[in-house]
Amino acid sequence: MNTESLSLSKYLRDMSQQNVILTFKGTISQEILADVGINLRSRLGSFHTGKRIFAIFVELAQNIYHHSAQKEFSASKGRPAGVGMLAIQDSNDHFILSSGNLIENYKVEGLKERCQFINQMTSEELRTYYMQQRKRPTGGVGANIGLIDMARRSKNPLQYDIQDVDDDTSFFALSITVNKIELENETAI
Amino acid sequence: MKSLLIHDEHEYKPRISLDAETGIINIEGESYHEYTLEFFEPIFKWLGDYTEVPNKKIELNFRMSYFNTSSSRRFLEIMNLLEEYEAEKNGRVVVNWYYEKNDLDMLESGEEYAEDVKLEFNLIAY
Repeated sequence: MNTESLSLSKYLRDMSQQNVILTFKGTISQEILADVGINLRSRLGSFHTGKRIFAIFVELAQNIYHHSAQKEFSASKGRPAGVGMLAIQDSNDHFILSSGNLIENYKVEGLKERCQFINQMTSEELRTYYMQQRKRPTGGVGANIGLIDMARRSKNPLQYDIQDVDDDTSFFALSITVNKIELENETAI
Repeated sequence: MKSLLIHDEHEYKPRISLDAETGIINIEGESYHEYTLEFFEPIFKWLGDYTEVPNKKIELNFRMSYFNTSSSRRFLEIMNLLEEYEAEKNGRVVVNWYYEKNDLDMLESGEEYAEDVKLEFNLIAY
């Protein structure tokens, strides 16, 4: 057997042990995102659970799309699109949605500060912060409120890890945990 | 001025109708386009034209089931534009925010907009 070839059976086994229900690497198109959304929402049973998980998934995917330091020309979009990885784990009592992508080193400190700032806020403070930031004009294409939105929807801190890659870039991994019990209680009205 | 209808089969684009006769604007469905500035540009253009004439009525109906943060910013900008129309050109604007009655997230989004803008704003469960 070619030792360079990826062992998909081992890869699948590892993922299954980690309760991974979805992984993606590359540039994600609108169509794939829409398709994943429909499947997630039907698969996750409760309409509201599926919708909240999907909402977080969209923000992670679009963060990669707009902010990844690694771009590829996307034929379907006719312009460069960010490259990254996405995963969803479905455990007994929670979901974990993760994204990973390269970021420019000059953005690292600002991003860390932003995550820490968000993580020390109460839900009421996050609401105010979200509304304040939404009013401020942005220079870029994104809304600049994706991280706040994910923290609000998940009701858990943003877990992040930034590793050096080379002189120009670092790898930014972000995980969002959503507790299933909270989801059920909230929607049982 | 003509009415405008934006309706294609993509799940990530909302259905939008802007009626030049009645001033009724409907935005419904889901919205998570990657480039919302581009997608909403014709709507801003239409609203810009429509609000050149003073004293008109506008009824803005949102019936969304999901939208991303980028769309959320565009919605606020639309409402800000209508606020200006009311303040400067005597326009009469009402916003109706429809939400599915168990959808607390959507109700909360509506409440936040209602707090954010100075417009007659109705939150309507269905």
